[in-house]
Amino acid sequence: MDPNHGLAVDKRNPNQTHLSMHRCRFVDYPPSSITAIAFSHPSVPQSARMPPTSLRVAIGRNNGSIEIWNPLSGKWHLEATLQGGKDRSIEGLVWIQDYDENGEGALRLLSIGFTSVVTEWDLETGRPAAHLDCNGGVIWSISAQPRRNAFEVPEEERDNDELLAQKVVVGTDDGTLKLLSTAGGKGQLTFVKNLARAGTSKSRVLSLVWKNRHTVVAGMADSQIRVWDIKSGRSIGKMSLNRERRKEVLVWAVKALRNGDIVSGDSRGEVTFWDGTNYTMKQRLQVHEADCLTLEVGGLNGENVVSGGADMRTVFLQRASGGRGWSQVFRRRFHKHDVRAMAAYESGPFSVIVSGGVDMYPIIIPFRAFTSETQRTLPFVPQNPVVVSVPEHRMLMSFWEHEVKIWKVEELSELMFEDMDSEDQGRKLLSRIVLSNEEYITSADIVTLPGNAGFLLVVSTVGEVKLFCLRQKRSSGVLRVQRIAIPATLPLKSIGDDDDEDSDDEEEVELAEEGARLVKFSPDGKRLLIITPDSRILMANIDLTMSADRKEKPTVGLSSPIYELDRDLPQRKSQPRHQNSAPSKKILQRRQDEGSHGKYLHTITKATFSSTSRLLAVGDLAGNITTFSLHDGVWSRISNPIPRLPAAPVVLLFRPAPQTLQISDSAHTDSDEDEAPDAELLVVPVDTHMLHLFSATSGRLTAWSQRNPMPGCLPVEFAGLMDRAVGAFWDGHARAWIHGAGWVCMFDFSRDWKNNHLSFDTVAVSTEGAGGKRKRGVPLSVGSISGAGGRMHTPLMVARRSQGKAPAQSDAESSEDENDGFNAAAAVAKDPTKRQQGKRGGPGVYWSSFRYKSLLGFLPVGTKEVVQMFGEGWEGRGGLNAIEIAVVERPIWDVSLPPRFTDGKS
Amino acid sequence: MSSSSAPRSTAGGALPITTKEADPKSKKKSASKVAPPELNAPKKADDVASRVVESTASPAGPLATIPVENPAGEVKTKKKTSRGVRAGKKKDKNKNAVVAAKAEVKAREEQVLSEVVKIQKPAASWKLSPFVGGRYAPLDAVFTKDERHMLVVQSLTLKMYSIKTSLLVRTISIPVIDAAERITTYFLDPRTDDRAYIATTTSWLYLYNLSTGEQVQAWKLELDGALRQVCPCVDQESQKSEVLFATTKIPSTGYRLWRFMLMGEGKVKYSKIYDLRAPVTALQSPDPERVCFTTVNSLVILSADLDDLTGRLLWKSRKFRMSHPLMCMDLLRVNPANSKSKGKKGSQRRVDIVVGDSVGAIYVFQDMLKGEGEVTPNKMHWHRTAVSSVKWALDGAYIVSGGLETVLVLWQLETGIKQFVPHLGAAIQNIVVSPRGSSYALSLSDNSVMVLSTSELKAKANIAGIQSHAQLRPKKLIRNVVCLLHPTKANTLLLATPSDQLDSSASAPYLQTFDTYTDRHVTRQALARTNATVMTQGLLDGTVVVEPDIKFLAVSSDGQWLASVDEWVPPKPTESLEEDEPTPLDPEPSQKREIYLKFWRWNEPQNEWELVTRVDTPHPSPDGLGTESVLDLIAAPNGQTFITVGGDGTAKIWKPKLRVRPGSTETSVLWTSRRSINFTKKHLANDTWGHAAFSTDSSVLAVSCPGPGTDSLVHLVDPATGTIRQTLGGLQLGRIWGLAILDRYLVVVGIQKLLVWNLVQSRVEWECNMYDIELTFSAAIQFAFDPQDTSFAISFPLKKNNKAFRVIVWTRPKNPNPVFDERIEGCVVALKSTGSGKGFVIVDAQARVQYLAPAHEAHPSVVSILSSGQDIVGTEEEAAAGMLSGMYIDDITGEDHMEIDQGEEGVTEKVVPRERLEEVFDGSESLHTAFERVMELFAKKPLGEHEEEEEEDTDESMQDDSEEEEEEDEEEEEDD
Repeated sequence: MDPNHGLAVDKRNPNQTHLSMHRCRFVDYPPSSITAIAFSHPSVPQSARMPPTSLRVAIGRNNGSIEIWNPLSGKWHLEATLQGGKDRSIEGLVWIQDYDENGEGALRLLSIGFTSVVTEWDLETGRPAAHLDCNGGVIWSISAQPRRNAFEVPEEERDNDELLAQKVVVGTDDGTLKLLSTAGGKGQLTFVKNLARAGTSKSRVLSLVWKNRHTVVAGMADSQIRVWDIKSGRSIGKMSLNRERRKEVLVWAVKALRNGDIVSGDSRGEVTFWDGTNYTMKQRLQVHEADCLTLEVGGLNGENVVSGGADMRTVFLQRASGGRGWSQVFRRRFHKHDVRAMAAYESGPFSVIVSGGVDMYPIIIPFRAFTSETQRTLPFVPQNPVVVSVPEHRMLMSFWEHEVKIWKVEELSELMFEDMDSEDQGRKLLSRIVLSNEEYITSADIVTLPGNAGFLLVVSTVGEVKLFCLRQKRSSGVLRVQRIAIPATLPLKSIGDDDDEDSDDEEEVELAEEGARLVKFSPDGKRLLIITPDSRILMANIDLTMSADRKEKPTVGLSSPIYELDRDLPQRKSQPRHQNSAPSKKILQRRQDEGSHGKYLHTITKATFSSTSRLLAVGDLAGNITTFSLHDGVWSRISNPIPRLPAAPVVLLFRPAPQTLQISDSAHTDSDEDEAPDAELLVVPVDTHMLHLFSATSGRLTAWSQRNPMPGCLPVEFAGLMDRAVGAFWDGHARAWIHGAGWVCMFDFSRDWKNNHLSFDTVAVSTEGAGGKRKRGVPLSVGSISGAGGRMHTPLMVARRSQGKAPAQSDAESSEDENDGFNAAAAVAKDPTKRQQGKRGGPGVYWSSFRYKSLLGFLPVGTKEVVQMFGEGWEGRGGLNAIEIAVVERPIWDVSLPPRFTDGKS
Repeated sequence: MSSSSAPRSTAGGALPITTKEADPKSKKKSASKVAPPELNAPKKADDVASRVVESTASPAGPLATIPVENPAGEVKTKKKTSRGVRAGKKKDKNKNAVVAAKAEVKAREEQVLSEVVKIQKPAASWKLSPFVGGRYAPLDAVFTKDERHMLVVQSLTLKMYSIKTSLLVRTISIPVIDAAERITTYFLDPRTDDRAYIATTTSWLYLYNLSTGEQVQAWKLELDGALRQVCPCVDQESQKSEVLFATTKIPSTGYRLWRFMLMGEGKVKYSKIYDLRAPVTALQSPDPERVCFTTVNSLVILSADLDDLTGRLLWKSRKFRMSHPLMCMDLLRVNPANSKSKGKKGSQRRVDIVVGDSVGAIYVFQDMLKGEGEVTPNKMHWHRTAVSSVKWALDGAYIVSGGLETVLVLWQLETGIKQFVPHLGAAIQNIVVSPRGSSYALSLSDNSVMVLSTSELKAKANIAGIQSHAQLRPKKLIRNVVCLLHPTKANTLLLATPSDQLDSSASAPYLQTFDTYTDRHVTRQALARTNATVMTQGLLDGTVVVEPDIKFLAVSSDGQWLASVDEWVPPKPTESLEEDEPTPLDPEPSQKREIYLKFWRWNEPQNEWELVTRVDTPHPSPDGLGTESVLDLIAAPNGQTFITVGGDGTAKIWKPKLRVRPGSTETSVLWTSRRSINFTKKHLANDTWGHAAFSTDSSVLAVSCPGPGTDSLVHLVDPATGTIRQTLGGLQLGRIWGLAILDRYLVVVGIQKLLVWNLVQSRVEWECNMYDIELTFSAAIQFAFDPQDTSFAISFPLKKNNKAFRVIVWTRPKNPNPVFDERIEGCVVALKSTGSGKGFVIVDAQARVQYLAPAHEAHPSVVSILSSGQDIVGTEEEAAAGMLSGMYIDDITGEDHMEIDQGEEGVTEKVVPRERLEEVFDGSESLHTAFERVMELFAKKPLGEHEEEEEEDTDESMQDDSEEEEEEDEEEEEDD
């Protein structure tokens, strides 16, 4: 696809430079379909509380990757991606929680693929923690035993780990169920026993659910649903769906209702309800035109059932109180292809279904409020950038799975408009590197070597780090790839204010085998930062020797030792408990065990060098930001840390030093570090999207940030964005560009912003004011209480008994806090003139666009360029400064989907 | 001629029916005799034409209207008489054209107004029959509790049909108070089986006994505004008096909901319970304390609590706002099986409500009597467009719904399975589930009611009315209905009908055969391609592919051949559907349009018309690219010949040709154009018009076409040679609407005047200025003539709003005195001759048929008998069937009938065709001969002799015809 060119010019502000945009759609990132979804906690509809902060959703994809999403009270942040590997896939996901008296046992994630192995994942490293081969056929289904609350455990079982721990049952393609024990903590998976196969049938076990702690219900491929008792290991019941036209009915989904009844969904598109004690059929409903693939249950009294099928439909079933059984209430076609997986979670007002399928979008559907709220579609593009650019050489590099591709984006002036028609115009694929690893790439970076020596490329997986040297052929411009061997072991030197004994120890690191979560070159190309999968920070110096002869290739290598930088995080519980006093039994009954993620929250997700390469900042999921500075070739942690953020940073970026200043490589130790020109760090936490400028050296807010307090000065439109920020870059000293999956914003930090007096605690929906206006715009809420999209503008049906009652959402929020900020925000929303300013954030300081969809990247692709403009009142003045930007899109319509079962017309 | 000098003085009482020179029977045979004596001798039609040409040589000169002074006294005398105005117009004594004196125009206008209002027409000579047919009101049909009969409503009459036989059993007519009055609701008395309540817009509520047809009681409800809906309470066990709910429209403020109790003896107790702005679309009540209704965007449930202090009911509302307008609603009352304890109201039973909205979604609200808490209805969406009707099956396990898709949908709630009854032929308007649940009654938009059995979903009964276009808004321009009366089967009306009558722009591709005698639909047949089984799908730009529209129909005089012209125009994106007048067509679509002339032969065993020849482009454009519209299609008065007039300025004579395939003994008939008469050189404009008329002896063909300016030309053509013998111009007729050759006179109806031209003497016999009869230009002008009776009639709207029409009938072309001149309430969409002097038939926009006939020609109709004599006994279907099919047999030849009766089938088979009886009674024979002939018909028939004779007769005549044709053919060939 051609790069489209556009020139965004703000004529009112002559200071603003030109902007040339390449709209690129050639980066063919292959998204993968969703195969499994699991919430880390069991749904507690009767609870009045908001969900625990440890709540996560794991979304398994067909390429073997698992995404860990944090619902973040409706904002939905993709925290981590456990990268899969070649020929792997995720066919089932289940979370278990180790038993803990205080309900703080570790949360563990298990998955199955199309193998006989059950995999436990280590969230902290992103690597499998354990594999257990069940020595049977291919595993088709997995389900975990219901968790135990401390209060319901009888005295005599308190010490029996086996009884306390959750068991897991898997079903294989030969019809056997295998019981696994998870007792013993992380990485401990043991085979307990086989559950006797019922009858002679060897058909696959397609779906599994635990009816209670000792009864397992399995949906099979031979038109049967069988029930096992795990104590005796015998089959105790059988429910039969009649074969139709000699075709076996496949029971794709089976779930247990709150009252013990069982509901199943099958290949005929029917949802069948079964009596839970006698195992007899109660009701059969034809709800899909094709296979019913997934089911979820919920509701305060278990009165809601949702099913998704191969006809793309999502159907809500409901049991009316005192009604005549179950009936179909509502159906929608949220997805554009098969609905493969669904997971529901309810707690207090939070009530959502996450559903996904072949069309790759996870969709958050409001569960209890499905008639009055809208769904929310999460982006399918990665939420960590997979595209980087080398603006000086007009290069764009993308990396995913096993593949690294490097393009050259041609200059605007080189392009004639008549050439636009051809497919390959405007860019050139310089290199495509396919790794032979099994694992997928986690991170990659490229840097220009000094002295025209080519480029240095680093690629990492969870098991490897590879270095390549790329040199450009003079004739064709194609890059020649040369692998640079990393020594098997390198001496490791820890730096930090540790005791001397640590640093004295001669440690070694197998860097090439260690793998990395994040790799990054310093801007000057002299250092390589490697964040290991377990979030250690390693710094390697790059050794570049230029031979005197220009014909000779320069040699590149990593010089030893490797330095390890210590973050020195406080060893405290990442999630303090709400009540320290012993909870009463009544509370315990309602309480949901929160569980803990251990050190997962210390996973480093962002790392950045300052423009002078002498400062480094890393941020983790818990919101800790640690800064390091380089003094005389030695890195040291800056003792004035930046305060811990309430949530993980999504943007962590040093502001470039003003061009006029010349900073020597050797820092002036005597200079005031607070005033260091390159020490300003832009930090955007994921939950509120507030824009902070910290001074990395002093750990304080900069003068600009103090003059523009957040969230009061936050541009209103930016605050109301649903999709979280993904990437950012600085355009010179003044302006920063931040983009999400569907939006691009520009901020001017050289001036002060208008104070809108926004306050996040109370920003609430005022449905009367602007609710019907448009989807985005005045930021009345970020996410929603229920976790899905906002309220529908035309509700399906509103019972008007209680007149004058505000919507539940604003009720909930205003009861929380009712201060002036909200009123001010509301006033902003109502006053059109003020809103205009709020949207703009004052003239020229804020600009946003929603034109681009499914953004993979928004990057500078060229250095400052002089654009000649004629006419339109522009004086000659030798042209204008323009920054060239590549907008890398991956439209969903370019992604090929397999053929659909139904064309959606019937 | 003696008739021309009819004395004016007699006009007031009874216009004299002048005795005819020849009786109508003899006229048929000696059509040429009627012609002037000069024309008698020649067998060849050429001579007529040559005569005409000769006379042209000395034309009558410019046709000036010569005002003739009428003495003032004369006018006054006329005033007293009802015929005054027309008498004034008549110009009789002298042969020159007579025109009303201009000075009198004003005075006359006043008279006309006053006359129409005050004066009763002289009923003696011609009279209007009662209405036959009509459109079924868009109300739910009502089953009697035994499910043997069904009640439907046509404007102000309640008709009771037997479900077993689909025959009309009883008609109950409401006394007319106001012309605009309508029945708004009717329902069976919840307590007794055989009584029905009928409510009208004028707030009258009647109670009728269904078995006797007598009015039991009548209440005048003193409500504000016009009554719109009434609903009974389903559960009235606890009530002593009948409780009803009703809505009225209050002119300025909106709508009001009432509750009233019928106390007996005409006393009613009222209470207003709710006022609202928007109209109520559906109203139902589960019990006397509750009522549910739907308004535009919401469902409202009102429930009453007894206020202990005042003893009055306090009404509480519960309102559910919906996202789309609601179209229909139904309640289901579920009484649990163990409802022995009827303690608190509503504690045991539950009410489920189903509503359908305008975008096709159906919502089920369960257990709505609880009245608290959030309710989430079940949403079921299959219909693409508005749900017209939705009903609960009796047990609540099913929902039945229908809409524009012509598909009845059965929703099984328990399993979510849908069942469909597709291709019902027309959009479903109302669905009713019978009280025992054994059948569904579907009111379809093609003016029919169908009863389906619930078990097999097969049709049990089908009751259809005349399926002509419905005229929903009278102010709109009227769409004329293409129809004709069958020339040999009396009382058989053939109409071009659309599939959806409510769409006034819909094309009419079907041919309906309707028996006006028994008021029964006979058959329906598609004459052009239809979209019956295809869901009407719009094109990308939102336009819809329409069906071809039948423009003309004609049947040959022997009734064996039907010719039809249908036209299809590709959809235009910006088509103004309002226009019914011929609109100028863009050249582009006119080239793409398709015009077919089709010839159909009557297939008696199949009981349908069989397509024999299709002519794709009867009148091609001169440039050969497109097709020109067919402007008129007529059948020759005798023989198998049709004439078309086309926009290419030609008239074509179409005749059948026998073809024998080589090596095959089978012969096939092919209709071809034998002669093409080009009457204009220049290409006619697109919005052209033209008419053709044949003289009774087929010797002269008159073709009218636009002339210079706004005037018209009439060409007189010799059909044998195809030469134009004479052209009449300068008549200042304006655009011509109708043309007829009656006897030796040419009758031309133009916009400006009605003119009778004496063909033999080439002069104007008389003319009548249209202005004087208040005719203004309108597409709704109808002209009909009867060549045998030499009578002709016109009808036209009195005012622009088309609410009232005026019909004028003349019986003698030479006599300008009309024999009938009446104002008719309603909108005349077709006026046709019934043939052989029995008058005319009027089809109105209400799909009703009315006969206009000489007084002695009483139109015998079972329907009229039934509706007039309500004392006919026989609620039994068998009795009714016998009564209907064998009416004459029972009355006249009871014993014979008994002998020949071989069971029910025999009865229907051996019915003597009505036309034969009519022939007998038409003649002015003595009673004795009439009796003999009747006896002939009935008594001899079983022996088969008579039939043989008849057959022989017809054969002979056929042979004669064919011989003649052959002769003609030969001649034509010679000419060529």
